Amino acid sequence: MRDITRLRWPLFLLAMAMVTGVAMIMASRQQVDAAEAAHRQLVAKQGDLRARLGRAREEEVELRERIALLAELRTSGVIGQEERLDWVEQISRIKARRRLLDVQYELSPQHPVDDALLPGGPLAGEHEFMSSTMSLRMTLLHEDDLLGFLDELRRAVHAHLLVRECVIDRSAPPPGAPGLAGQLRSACTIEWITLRERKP
Amino acid sequence: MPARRLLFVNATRVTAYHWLPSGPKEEASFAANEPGLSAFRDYLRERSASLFYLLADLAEEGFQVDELPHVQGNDRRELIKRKLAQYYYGTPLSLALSLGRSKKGRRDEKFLFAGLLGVSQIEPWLQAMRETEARLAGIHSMPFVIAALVGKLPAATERILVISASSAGLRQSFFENGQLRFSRLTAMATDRSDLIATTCASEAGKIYQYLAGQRLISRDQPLQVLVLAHAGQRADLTRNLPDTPERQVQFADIGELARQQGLAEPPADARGDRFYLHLLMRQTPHQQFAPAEDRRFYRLWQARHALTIVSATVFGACLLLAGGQMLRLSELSDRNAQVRLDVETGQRRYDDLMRGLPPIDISRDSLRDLTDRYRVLARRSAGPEPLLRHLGHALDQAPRVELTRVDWRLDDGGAHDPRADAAQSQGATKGGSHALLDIQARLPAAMALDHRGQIEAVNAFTGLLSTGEIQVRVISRPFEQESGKAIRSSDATGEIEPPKFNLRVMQAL
Repeated sequence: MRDITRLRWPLFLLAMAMVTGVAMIMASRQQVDAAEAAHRQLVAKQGDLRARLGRAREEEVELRERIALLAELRTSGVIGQEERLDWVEQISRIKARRRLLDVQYELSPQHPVDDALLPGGPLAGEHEFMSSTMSLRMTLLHEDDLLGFLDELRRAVHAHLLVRECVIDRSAPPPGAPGLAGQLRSACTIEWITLRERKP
Repeated sequence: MPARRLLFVNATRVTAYHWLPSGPKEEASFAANEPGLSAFRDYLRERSASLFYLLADLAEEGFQVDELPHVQGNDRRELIKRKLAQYYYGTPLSLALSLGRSKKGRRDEKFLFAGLLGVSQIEPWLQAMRETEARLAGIHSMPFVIAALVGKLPAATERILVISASSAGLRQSFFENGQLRFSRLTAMATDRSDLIATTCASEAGKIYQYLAGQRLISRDQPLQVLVLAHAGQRADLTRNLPDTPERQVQFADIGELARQQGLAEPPADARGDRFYLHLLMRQTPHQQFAPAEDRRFYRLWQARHALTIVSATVFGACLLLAGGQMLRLSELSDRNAQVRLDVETGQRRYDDLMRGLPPIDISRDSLRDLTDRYRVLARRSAGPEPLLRHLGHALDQAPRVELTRVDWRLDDGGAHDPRADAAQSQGATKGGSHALLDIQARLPAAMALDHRGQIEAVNAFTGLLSTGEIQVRVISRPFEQESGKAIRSSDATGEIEPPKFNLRVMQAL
């Protein structure tokens, strides 16, 4: 025991050698692990890039189509604020031009589209799909009145229209009359869909 | 490796040598008095890093051969310790050398117990070494050094008396089967060959009588005597030490033996101090006389040396492992640089290809997400017109069918709308979007009693509505002919209701 103090420096040297050695191994191992992880990432990126380069021509065509669609959505006003005043005016204009008997509607407050309408929810990158639900009731002479009204409305307003439901039935069926001729009533649910930018 | 130094101790002085691979080189000599001891201490202090090997060539030695029961471990140590204390009480400088186990009886183990009895001649030197903390590797005695040589001598026989000379005197060592059995030193003040030869003859005669008395040799056989002498003394020795009925004398040239052992400067005369010291370093005997306490600083040096070697080994091994890792790292870095360059080149090519696209203010991922989702929405936005137009065409070809109500709606596959679950139970496919058209219709009242006609009319209308993409399911018929349904007669009042039926039309979006 008395000689232990005489061995303190060799023992210290041994401890230092072990600590330094283990530290060197651990440090080098960490660097190798990091380099291996970086290598895996780079190889994955390289593979991905090669695949993208292989289909770059198709991707270019695809992107052009998408950009064209984006431009169309912007031009048609689907991307942007709701223009409710314009919508109401357009409905009145179409009703007058088509001499429709009765058109009643109720437009609910705007809300994000639900999963039932758009699986996956309303978010789409930097935009959000919003909707205002309209309950539309009309009295028709012929079912074409409804179809024509919807078609004209779809082309006239700055929104994407999605009809969820339409019920047409006879209000006073004349005996022996063919088809839906005569007084018809329709009740439709229509989503007025617009896209708005998400706030960061 | 620290320097190794040899201390040749005889009765009158200590001579210090520095050992080199070519042989010992004399450095100093110290008389056995106070000035000599003082100089010896100074010598040791100046060479504190050296390892010291002490070779004692003293007359006061004891040799005893005895047998002990063969035991192991602590019992063996205790037995030997007790035996040494018994034979050499009063001296700590003793050792036991195993000569092997007996082949008879209980096969006891035979030992040679040897002790340096002239403690007073060595102790002052040992005390000086303790005071200066000199690293004493061991204390050896001359007979055991000569023993290492005997096995290599061509003249060695089963029993042989080896006569050697040193500055301490003339030593006679008796070996049996190459193992030391007995040795004695005769002080001799001269180096004259004729006197040495005379002394050899005289001492050989005494030894013969002693060995014969101890029954170590047979009286009817001559004792083999080997004299280690210098070549220049051989003539005198041959003349003065002839063969007799009691002895047969052979000579070995100490100069030639020294050369064989690698000593660069062979001894100039028969006194072979340097040769025996060289032999000690070349073939250091395992057994030595120093007690553990006197070897303490040598043991400490051994421990320090071992720890240093272990430290260096550990560090070296870690360095090797880390070096291996660094090589791997270097290789990986090179490969990563190549892959990175390839990725950058590829990215530039890709960017060049995409540079012709119109600029957009959102990311491409957002663009893909937005357009994909819009297309999903657009695919479901056709409205009721396609199915109603299809229904209109079918009605044109089925004039007897009159509609009372149509209910068109989107079905999202059943995840959210309870009505869709009901629709699936009635035929819609789960998991996809559909447009559903529920039709309530009737046939002319004139067909009220024509059940077969009703069935045919409904089937014909269903056939007109069905296409590859459009499926039609009959929900209810004007006349249920299945065995599981009830059938009733016409109204007793005589009023005839037009036959009614319900259909469900489905189109995948």
